[in-house]
Amino acid sequence: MKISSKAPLALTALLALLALILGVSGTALVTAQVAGIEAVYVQGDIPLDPESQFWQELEKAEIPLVSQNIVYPLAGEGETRKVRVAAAVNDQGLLAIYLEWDDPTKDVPVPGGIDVFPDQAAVQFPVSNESLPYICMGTTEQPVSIVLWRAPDMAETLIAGSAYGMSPEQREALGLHSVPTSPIELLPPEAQVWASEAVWSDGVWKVVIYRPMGSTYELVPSLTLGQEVSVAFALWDGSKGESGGKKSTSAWFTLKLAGPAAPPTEVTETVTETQTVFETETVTETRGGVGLALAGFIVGVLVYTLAVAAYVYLVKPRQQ
Amino acid sequence: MVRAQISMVMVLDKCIGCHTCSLTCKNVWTNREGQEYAWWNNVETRPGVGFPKVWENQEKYGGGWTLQNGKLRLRIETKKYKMPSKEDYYEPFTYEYDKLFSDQLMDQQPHADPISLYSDEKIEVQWGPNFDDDLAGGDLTIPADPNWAGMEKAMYKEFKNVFMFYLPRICNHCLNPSCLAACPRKSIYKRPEDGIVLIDQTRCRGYRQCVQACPYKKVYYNWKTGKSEKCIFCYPRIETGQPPVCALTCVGKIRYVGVVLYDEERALEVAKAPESQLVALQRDLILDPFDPQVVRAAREAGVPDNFIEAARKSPIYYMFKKWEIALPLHPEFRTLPMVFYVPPLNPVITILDKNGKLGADYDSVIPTIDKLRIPIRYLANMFAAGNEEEVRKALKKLLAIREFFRQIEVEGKSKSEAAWVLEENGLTVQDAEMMFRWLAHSRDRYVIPTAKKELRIRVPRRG
Ligand code: SF4
Ligand code: SF4
Ligand code: SF4
Repeated sequence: MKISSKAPLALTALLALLALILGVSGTALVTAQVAGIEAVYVQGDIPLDPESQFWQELEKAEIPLVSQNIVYPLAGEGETRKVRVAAAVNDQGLLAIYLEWDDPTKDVPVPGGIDVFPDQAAVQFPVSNESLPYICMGTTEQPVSIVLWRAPDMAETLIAGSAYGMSPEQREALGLHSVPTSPIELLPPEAQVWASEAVWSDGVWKVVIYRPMGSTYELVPSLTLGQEVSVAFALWDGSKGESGGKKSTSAWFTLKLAGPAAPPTEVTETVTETQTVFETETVTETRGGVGLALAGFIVGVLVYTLAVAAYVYLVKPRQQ
Repeated sequence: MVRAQISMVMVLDKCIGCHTCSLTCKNVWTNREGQEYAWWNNVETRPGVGFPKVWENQEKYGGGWTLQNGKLRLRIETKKYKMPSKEDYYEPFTYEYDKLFSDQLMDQQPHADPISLYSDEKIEVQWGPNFDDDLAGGDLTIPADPNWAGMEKAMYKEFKNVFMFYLPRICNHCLNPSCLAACPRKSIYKRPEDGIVLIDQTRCRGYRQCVQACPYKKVYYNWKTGKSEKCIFCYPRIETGQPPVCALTCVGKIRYVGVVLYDEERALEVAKAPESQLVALQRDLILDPFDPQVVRAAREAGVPDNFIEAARKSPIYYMFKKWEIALPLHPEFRTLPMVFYVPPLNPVITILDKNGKLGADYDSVIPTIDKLRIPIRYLANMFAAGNEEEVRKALKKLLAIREFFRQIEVEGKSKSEAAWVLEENGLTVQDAEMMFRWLAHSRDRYVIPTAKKELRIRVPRRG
């Protein structure tokens, strides 16, 4: 049937619309489910030197970031940056993520550097993989786990959205302040799972951050081989005075942790699939699937309205 | 909600500008890498630019709050401002002291060059935290003092030969701290039990928005730890009933430490008051610790009895609230600063007529305040958001006390005969005696209740 060739377009339009609506309504960005980063499986040690051949030869996903413009202080310039990402897992249960981005200035703390802002990068994970938390550092109900890397070489494990729902006793048991006073908190020493290796040369930061996949700490997600997790990225350019809320951030992306059992063909397929969807998204209009796109749009609005209505009339009253 | 606040008064006439307070604070708290340039306590000469350079100029630094359509806004949220840099502070240095002993025998005396504490290299020293001490810097630094606002240009030229005073500064442990409000990580908190403003070092991530937002520039970024630090009102000493280091070691005995009770709920509203009323309304916030209703409310709010007791003997309560001789520094920054200053009288330009009688410039026996050496306008810009009346009132009372004791000591009058001088200025003989004990004898300067950890007040949930 002719129409079947256009069906993916409609679906894409619908997805794009949902992403838009959900994004605007501050829930989540569905794009995360479609674009992917593959953590390759390695037998034995993963090289941690960012300049090693291993990382240099690995294919990297290019993730776009934009200056956040939701909370004060705004970065001001609506500039776009990119971070190139690769990842690896191994049989010893280590996850390593390679981040590489262009930054003509190396901003690191120096003696007396009271107006120096170090360059920083962060990767964000949902604490629970059931549904996607709010992209901007989670919410009370859905906290996010963050690894913050700071030049020249420091990695911290943080929690944001900070599980406000917990009782003071629960929080104290987790080594947090009994009363949450900050939207983002440093986890106690036993939950500091991330470490890093970093190099800056010729205007490029190359950073490897790594952690054991398993976690016994409630607010650090435990990861397993073969699993898909959502990730989001952030960068700070110190030379532009960026720190805290002044940063650029990405949408959610999928990080697939390969396992030894996973047949390689399947993996490639996933990658191509996600890429196709990405492309289709941008070419939807030029290919002229307007009618169907419109249909998708209308269906999307209907679905959304129904969902909201269902939520308001069915779910909400029960919560109260 | 009644809260207790530990607070300080500095009597500026007594400050001799010795910097002992700065050095002892440094030796105890900031004598380490990362804080070399930090002076949690510093002493400035006025008129002058202070430390960091012209910190009072918020057009440059963007500190404190502004009032926009009746709402308080952090000034840093309204525009992009410059972060204070090494040039605004200084490059800390030491000298090659070793050379004085180890140099080879030469015709010239050995000398020790300055070396940077940052690079260990020789540097040419350009500026320091007190480079305009005692009016050094003259025509460069004196006119740059922001407190000349509203005065004629020619005036400072005239005044620079006539007056000078010292202004020691610590963090004001404000009731409406803009440093606290500016921190996105909510790392800064005001202790509910005594109002000391602290930065949680486990939470701070060195965003430095507090450095920009504090209009007094009393938050210092530590380049070594990547976190910000500030005066802690020596809380480990306070908790055990001891005065802060800077107060304990003050040579001029100018510092008074005590507790005041205040109405927390009204603080924000007062911070929004018209400039001319800022001092009066801040005074209004301070509650009478003898009022049974206040005492009851304080107890209900968890203020321990020893704090209430201390508030009744507090020199701060008397000097700021009851006698109105102490004033806050730059109330127009709207942070409700809780370190107060008794403004300097400086010598009166005495005018006697041909017969040796007091000239027409005297209000009864007290010289017209405007004939004092330091222009009232200047002091009002510094301590009263421009409200000259507040300064006049304070200075008149100080003069009344002097005159009262002069009449007794010099003219041999009895207390009741001299009491009218006090009454004219709203003071009693009892007030005068208390003031005399505190200001002249410097007795009982510190009334510090020990911390009652077991009664710790829980902060209400935020966020
Ligand atoms: S003086 Fe500055 S640092 Fe101290 S409490 Fe006030 S605003 Fe904060
Ligand atoms: S109170 Fe303590 S920390 Fe603050 S300036 Fe004085 S000595 Fe330094
Ligand atoms: S120690 Fe006292 S007298 Fe000396 S400068 Fe400091 S405040 Fe003034």
